[in-house]
Amino acid sequence: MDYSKNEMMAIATGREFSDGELAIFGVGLSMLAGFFAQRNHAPNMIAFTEGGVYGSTPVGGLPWGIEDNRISANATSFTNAIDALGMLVASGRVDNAVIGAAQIDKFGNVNTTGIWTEGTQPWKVGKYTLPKVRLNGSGGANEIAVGAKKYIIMAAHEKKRFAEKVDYISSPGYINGGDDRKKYGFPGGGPSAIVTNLGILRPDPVTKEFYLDSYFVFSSVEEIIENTGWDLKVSPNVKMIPEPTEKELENLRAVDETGSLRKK
Amino acid sequence: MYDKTMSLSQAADLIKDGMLLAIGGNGMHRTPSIFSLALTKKPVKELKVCGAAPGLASDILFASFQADTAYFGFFGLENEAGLAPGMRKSMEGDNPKAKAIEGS
Repeated sequence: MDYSKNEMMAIATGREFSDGELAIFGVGLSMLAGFFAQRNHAPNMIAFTEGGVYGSTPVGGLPWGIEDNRISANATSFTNAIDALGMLVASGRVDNAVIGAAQIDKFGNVNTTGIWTEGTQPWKVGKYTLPKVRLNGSGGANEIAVGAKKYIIMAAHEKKRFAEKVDYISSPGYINGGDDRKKYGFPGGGPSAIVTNLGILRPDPVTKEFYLDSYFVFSSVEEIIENTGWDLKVSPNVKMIPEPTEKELENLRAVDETGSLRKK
Repeated sequence: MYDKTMSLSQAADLIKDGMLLAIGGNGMHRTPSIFSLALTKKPVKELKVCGAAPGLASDILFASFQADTAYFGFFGLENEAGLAPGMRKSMEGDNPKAKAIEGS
């Protein structure tokens, strides 16, 4: 069957969703993954964005933003970020979500704030210093990471992105592992999976360190270890992720009308 | 009825040095970019910009070095358009001209 790696990644992410969930999606490929799930196997999923676009299904292909006409055209309601993040997410009502990451570490902490020169990271020097590369900030991902019952992180699997420790925590995963989230009083449960273009990592139930759970037909355990910046543990039951079914591909492409996932 | 309409240039004249501007829109959507372009024709400087997701209209003011501070949760152009180039130009390097106050 002919499909792209990004399509496989979106389908693998979509499989993490169940019917009837209240879900929030970030912008980009994560939105396609979520709405693929809604179309494919979770028709009663209610989805919203941090901009307050609630109960919608995108039309015309990949929405360009969280308040794009493609996402807001058929929304049940279009309120605001205070309702979406301040009420629905912060109260712990959201069942599942997807966020993206520029840099990610072994405890699922996400950095979308900046990239620092080695040795000048704020956590190393004990104060905030200016980053070498200024990224776009957490947006609503911080609230989602803190408040959603669980969420999936989607990221391109490259060694420079998968760091032992992120330069800066924009959106917290399990902080330093274990029950660290409890110390901070977060209502949400933390990331349940990191889905990449090479495979799926999941958190150890006790240490919360992410290990390799499964890989795609076009990747391998060795390739994933090579592209991970920490000493990645591999599940003794590591397995290959089933390829997309015809029905899954058809439903994904119906959502991804403009073929964003098929672009190189 | 009081008529509040005015030319873009006259509206831009209402903005003074050091003002904090709440610029509407989100990323690439509904941002008043023409207003920002009108501001680039004026000598106004040291502007501060705030918004949940400042995008194109705010980025223009950082590209022209007329804004020196951004308060935001997300500052980018979204999706395939990527990071905000004007913001990066003014905030990166050894002598940044602007600073970011990131929250959400």
